[in-house]
Amino acid sequence: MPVRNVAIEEERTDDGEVRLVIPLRAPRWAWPLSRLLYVPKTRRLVLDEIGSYVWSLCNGERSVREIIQALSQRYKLHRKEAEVSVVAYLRQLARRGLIGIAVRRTDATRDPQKR
Amino acid sequence: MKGQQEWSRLAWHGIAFDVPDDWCPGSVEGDYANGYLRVEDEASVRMELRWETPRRGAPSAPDLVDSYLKQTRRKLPRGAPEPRVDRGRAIQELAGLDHEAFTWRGGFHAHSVLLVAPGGARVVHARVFFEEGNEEKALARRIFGSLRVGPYDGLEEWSVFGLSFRTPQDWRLERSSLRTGCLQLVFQAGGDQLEVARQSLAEFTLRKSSLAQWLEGFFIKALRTYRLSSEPAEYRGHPAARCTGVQSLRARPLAALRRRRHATALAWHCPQADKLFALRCDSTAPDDPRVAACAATIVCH
Repeated sequence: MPVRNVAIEEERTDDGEVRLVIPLRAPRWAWPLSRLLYVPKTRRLVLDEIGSYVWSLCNGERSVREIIQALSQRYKLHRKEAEVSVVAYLRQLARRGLIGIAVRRTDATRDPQKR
Repeated sequence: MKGQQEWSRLAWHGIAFDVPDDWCPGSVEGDYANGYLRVEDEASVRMELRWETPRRGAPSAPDLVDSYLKQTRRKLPRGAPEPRVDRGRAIQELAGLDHEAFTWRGGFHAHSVLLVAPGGARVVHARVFFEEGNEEKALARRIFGSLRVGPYDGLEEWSVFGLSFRTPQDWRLERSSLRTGCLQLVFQAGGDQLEVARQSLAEFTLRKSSLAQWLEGFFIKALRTYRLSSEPAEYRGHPAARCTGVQSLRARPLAALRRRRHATALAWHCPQADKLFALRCDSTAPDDPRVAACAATIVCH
């Protein structure tokens, strides 16, 4: 289940799109430099309408399959079309550290010795 | 098999059949003469289809099954148990066509049908895979019963990811692109070209441009050497745009020596399906009627 990175703040633009405010951590070597020059502490990333919708579904409660279903229903997409685009998009978000993937606890994962 | 299962049509290079709604193409290869299509559901490969054109007339379906079984047995690993094969079955709906249905239970389990198209033009082999203990005979029978190998009435059937249409049989698929949200199939007949496309998220797309602008932009690569004129139109009660043009002598000076080529394009927005459908034809005929003929076969909603 995709879950949003709690360190990231989100804002809504006038168009209803999501703007992510991503904190930046400057490397140690850049500290002295940051006293002299302006080094931004955050980076902003605006998601388009569809990206914003997928982002809103990444709440740690919906599985990837549920997100695919929701997207295909809302935008009248074929299941495979939605699947390919959602998986690629989530992979991109995960690679940038904007989301993580939570694994739902089952009896087997709770107590592996009982297997 | 689930009783209330929904079905959809899948057709590629004139070979058409019904599949459960949640099955869709996972891989396509080859051309009209020889090719391969793999169909998957959410979890696994459910079906494979191979077609080929025999070089010297097609043998009978039972002979082809003999040869297939011989080859498949040869590929079995040493010491593997002898596969169980039930042969000699016929599919009621394919009566009158040279075919044989059989079941293979070995390294994999599959219901198969081998069909020789009328006139022996193409041989089609369809396999529906199943897990041991869950044979899904009725499902396989329904798929095989719906199998049709074109052309029918001089038209070839195409249906993929819900985009269904027919083309005259002399049009051959030149290239295809089945990208997420955008399907494009380009056909060639002699020097003429026909392109059929469908784009999803129509409302989203049309927020940024008009339909006519989108149409010209969508086919910009193919239409850049034409002097175009676009006009809004209506098609099947949907908002549409029509675009016609003649090859520009400034862009292609040598075109003056030959018969001038014309471009005809049509696009419409189906709000029910939230899709944009577009067709383009490049030929020597102005306002080529084949665009309208092909568009009429597209099922938009």
